[in-house]
Amino acid sequence: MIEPCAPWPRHVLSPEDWVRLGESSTRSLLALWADTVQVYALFREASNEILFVSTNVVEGAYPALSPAFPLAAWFERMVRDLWGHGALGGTDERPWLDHGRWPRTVPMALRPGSPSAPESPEFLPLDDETLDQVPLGPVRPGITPAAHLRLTVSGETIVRAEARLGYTHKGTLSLIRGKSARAAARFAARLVGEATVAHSIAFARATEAALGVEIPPRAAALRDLMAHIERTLATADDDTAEEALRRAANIAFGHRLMMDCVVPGGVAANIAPGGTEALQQALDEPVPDLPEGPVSVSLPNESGEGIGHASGPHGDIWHWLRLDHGQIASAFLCDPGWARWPELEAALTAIPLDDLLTTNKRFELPTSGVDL
Amino acid sequence: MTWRPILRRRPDPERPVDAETAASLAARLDAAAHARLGRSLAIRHLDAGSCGGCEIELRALNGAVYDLERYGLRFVDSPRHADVLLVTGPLTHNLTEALEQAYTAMPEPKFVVAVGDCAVDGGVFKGSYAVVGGLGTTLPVDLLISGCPPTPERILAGLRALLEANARSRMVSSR
Repeated sequence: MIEPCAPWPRHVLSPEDWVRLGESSTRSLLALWADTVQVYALFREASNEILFVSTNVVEGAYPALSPAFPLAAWFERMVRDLWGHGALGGTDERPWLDHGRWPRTVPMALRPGSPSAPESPEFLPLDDETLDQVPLGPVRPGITPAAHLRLTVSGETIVRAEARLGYTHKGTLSLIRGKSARAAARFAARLVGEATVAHSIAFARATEAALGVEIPPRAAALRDLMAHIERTLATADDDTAEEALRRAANIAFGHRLMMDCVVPGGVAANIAPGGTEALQQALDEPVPDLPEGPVSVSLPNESGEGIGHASGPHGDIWHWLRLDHGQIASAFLCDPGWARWPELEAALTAIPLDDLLTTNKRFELPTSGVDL
Repeated sequence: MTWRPILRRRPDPERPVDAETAASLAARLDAAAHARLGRSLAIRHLDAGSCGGCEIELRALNGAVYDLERYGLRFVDSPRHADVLLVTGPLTHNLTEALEQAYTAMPEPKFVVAVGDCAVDGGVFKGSYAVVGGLGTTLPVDLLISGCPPTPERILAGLRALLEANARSRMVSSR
């Protein structure tokens, strides 16, 4: 059965077909999430095409994808913590976002549970008694996001690095539910501060796809410009150049991070007078000519389902949402951190302990995006 | 270069110093030293669920443009070395224990600064099941710096006010 979703229709699979997704070795998992009745997955095929599938949750469970797609493990743990759906045959059943400290368990489920007792995180067992463990975090040195790294070391060499996230979980998905797309965009803009423009663009594109709305060419050009500035800021290695560009962005768009400047339906405001010149100077490259015309369109109060994509400073961002007469019935915001954090774990393995900080610095991963 | 004759002339026999003047000078010096040396604060930043926006502006303070250290303000790695706990984020339930531990580890006297709308009162995340909402719910807060995120100038102005207050309080307590 195929359900309408723009721009990629959603294939509703039986549990058997869902399990068969893992048979293709060239398929890669982009995101996995749920709502109260279904579990959704987004894949990229070898041909670069996008495949969007879902399956119904039967008796509180669905077949796990983690045996075939290792990246699915964190998503499955997140789905269990937020909605309570169990992944049958999953590779990892430990809690993820839920540290036993919320006033209720499975907060996104139809019937949230009563609070559980705080529990200390459970790490992979030490299979060799000669190894030591180094705990790091959640409060780590420097101006860093909260995350815990558990390093298993043999002498001076890291033999295994395990990340435990969820510390900055703010319940973003539950706050989005039931809001209009315009109101919910503020949460998409605050998922990851370093990628606020990119997340806002992905969220706006998902909304516009769901409603079948085309934004004016000037709005699209302004979004591209803001996304370009954000990527430049993220890769700037000179802090005076970064500061100059932030000040120029403030002149042009009214905010140093350009937070809330991209909204569903277009952009929040036109570029301010003098903004183009300021940006040109700070970017040290010509700003492309902007097409004339309006910078936003109004959104109809209609229903629909859509997916939006944007390339952020840390990688590809995917947002999905379903609108019910203009209000968000369900949504998921997928940050590149879901794929990048496991990469960091791998990169920290088999290196000397002394190289920990430099390797960590090279990745510079935010946690808020994965923690939701 | 040759020394001028006047500098080579032997000084007059020393007269005893006036005890009263010395005492009053020493008192003034003491106060000045407190005022000067009190103008230094070590800051430990703690992420209590921030999106990372406030951290961008905090890192800017460390850069060459704002150059926090010229005011005697500096970021330190351990709460045990810190005078100021600078907190960003709406305080998630999952981070309350880490926050309390960091605060307890700090030596007295200590200041708590909430940076950003989230840390001030929960910001847009107010009312979520996962956040306590505002630093003031858990710790005694000395300074609130609002904004989403506050600009580096604003954070700097707040921290300098704290520095000033700290120097004055030390002068008062030294009398």
